[in-house]
Amino acid sequence: MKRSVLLSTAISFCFVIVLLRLGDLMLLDHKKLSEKGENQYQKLKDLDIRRGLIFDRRGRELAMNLDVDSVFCDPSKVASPKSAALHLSNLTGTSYTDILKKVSAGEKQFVWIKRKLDGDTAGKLRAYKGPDSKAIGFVTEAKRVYPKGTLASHLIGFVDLDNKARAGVENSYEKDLRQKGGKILVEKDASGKVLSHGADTELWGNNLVLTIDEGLQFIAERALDEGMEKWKAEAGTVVMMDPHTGEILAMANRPTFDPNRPGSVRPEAVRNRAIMDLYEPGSTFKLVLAAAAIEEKVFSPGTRFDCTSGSIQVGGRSFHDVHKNGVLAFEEVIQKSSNVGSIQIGLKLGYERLYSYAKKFGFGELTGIDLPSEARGRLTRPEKAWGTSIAALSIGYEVSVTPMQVLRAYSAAANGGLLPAPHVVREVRSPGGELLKKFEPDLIRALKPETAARLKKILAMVTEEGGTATLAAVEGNRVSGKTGTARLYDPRTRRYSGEYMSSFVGFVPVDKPKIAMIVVIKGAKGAVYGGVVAAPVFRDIAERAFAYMNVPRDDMEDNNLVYLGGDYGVRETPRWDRN
Amino acid sequence: MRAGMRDSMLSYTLKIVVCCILVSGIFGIVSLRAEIRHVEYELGALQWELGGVLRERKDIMAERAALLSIHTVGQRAEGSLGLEFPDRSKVFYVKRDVGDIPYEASFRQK
Repeated sequence: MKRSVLLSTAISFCFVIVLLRLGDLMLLDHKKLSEKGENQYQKLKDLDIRRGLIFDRRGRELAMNLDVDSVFCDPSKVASPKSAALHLSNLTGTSYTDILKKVSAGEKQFVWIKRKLDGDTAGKLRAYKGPDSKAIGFVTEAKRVYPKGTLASHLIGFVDLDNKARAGVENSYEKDLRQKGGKILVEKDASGKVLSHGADTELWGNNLVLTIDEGLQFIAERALDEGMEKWKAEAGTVVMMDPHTGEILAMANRPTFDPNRPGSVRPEAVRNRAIMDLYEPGSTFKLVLAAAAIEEKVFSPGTRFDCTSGSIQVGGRSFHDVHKNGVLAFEEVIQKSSNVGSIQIGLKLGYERLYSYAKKFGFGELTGIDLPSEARGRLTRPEKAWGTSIAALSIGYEVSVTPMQVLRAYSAAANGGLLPAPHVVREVRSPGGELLKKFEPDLIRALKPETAARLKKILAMVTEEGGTATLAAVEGNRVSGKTGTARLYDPRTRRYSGEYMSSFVGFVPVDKPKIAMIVVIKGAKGAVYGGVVAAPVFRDIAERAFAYMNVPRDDMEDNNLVYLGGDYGVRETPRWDRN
Repeated sequence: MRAGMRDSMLSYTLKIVVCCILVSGIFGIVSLRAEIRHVEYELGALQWELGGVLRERKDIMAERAALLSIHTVGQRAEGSLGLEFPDRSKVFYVKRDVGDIPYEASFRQK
């Protein structure tokens, strides 16, 4: 009896000790021990940031992401730096000296050898089993690719090695395309292997749907290349826009660059001349003069302008016509682009009124296009104008504009007097394809509808017989437009150089314009007139674009033609999601 | 006395059953946890495989987009296939008052 009591007591005592220890571990030290345990089997992993995709208006991919290998080295594990550097240099094609410097930094544990390798190089490095191969490791990184190469490169932009935007919509929509980073908690076992967490480790940005059409962009770029090649020009720009909505259908600049090779991009090639280059528009500015003259009724119908002398004196300075004209009607002054006639109209208007109409057309202001680094342009205020300013402004000098501003002004004439807000992004969609934002047309009244209608007719005369831009005429459709030939001002010498900006801006068809477009060629050799250099480029683009868009001819009824074929539009439902 | 013996046997049996339930319960929990771990490992391996497949898919999609670029298609069409850009001046001429069917259609106006 005594022994059994003793035994029971001893056993009970042991159980009590065990229970007390359990209590200590599970209740008193619970928090500390639980944290220690978590540190051993849990870790925070950075989410992989993926930029959103960029599509054209028909769902074709313009910017995508690939997963590529980047190779790093742990210098603290390198036994023979020179040998390792030699092998790595041969395999990656990088400078031996640079790599030797990195692998010799013994105190570091991580140095990049080369980032974002191509498939072949990565394969060779992974297969390398030579000396110090255990010091080499790989990290998967996202690489931005532009599958269409140089197409629309200025508009799309590009990113640097760290996928940070540098130009174009990549830059202006950075907040939509790239989400802020985050971390995810993952579990790992004793060997460090990550167990399934069931969550997506990629954090995708939103997708962009642009207003441009790959087909129209290709047509514009090809015609611009042909024009530049023919006239051995220094630079060129084409912008095509829907005049009713402000949607940019194509935007081409030369010189251009390949966004897939950001390291080899030259600054002058990256320049988006359509919105950054300022120039004196020359005769294309006569749209403003004509609009002001019509709305202000500064002359009665039937007024004729004597341009027989071929020159006019204003403020002690002489202004000339390129060709001698006779006595011209108001419409003919524009059709034949007579400087003498234009200055006579300008003198009747006065600088203040002409200035106010220039402001109505948006000159001297940003267009607000959703691209970075847009130039505002310059328009001399009336109080700063001097003796010859009214004459100069009447013929498009003493004012600096961008091609985008000029196109926008002509779009107002095309659509009944409303100034559109140009934009290059149509929609923002979530990674799953859900519509988040849709950009609606934004229009401001600049002219009366009847003024716009009259301007359309006058500008149509420019491309007909007797006009300065017969080479812009499109077979089957009437074109309204204006040529511009302006000397280039050199700010270094403060004089006009021998180079010219040759331009043509217009819209077609006249009655229901489908496209408004501007072509600007800088430094053409062999010819300088806008009607000779830029107008044929306009025609080539318009004809091919209308074939692509299936736009019917204006003379269908007259020639008993029947329109065959569907409307221009999306033939299949595009997919906007990343999968 | 018989009742006492019966009670004692019942109590003994009950204790054994309870112990068995407890022990099997503990083993069951341990087994389930091991099973969950095993599934997590398998899912981890599948996720790794999925990552590889998705990476390959991205490569293919990018290659497809590049091959379908209008520049590439245009070069092939105009180059080796001898195709031309559509000429919109070529349309069917169809008379307005067609008369009896069947209709005739032609690229050339009669």
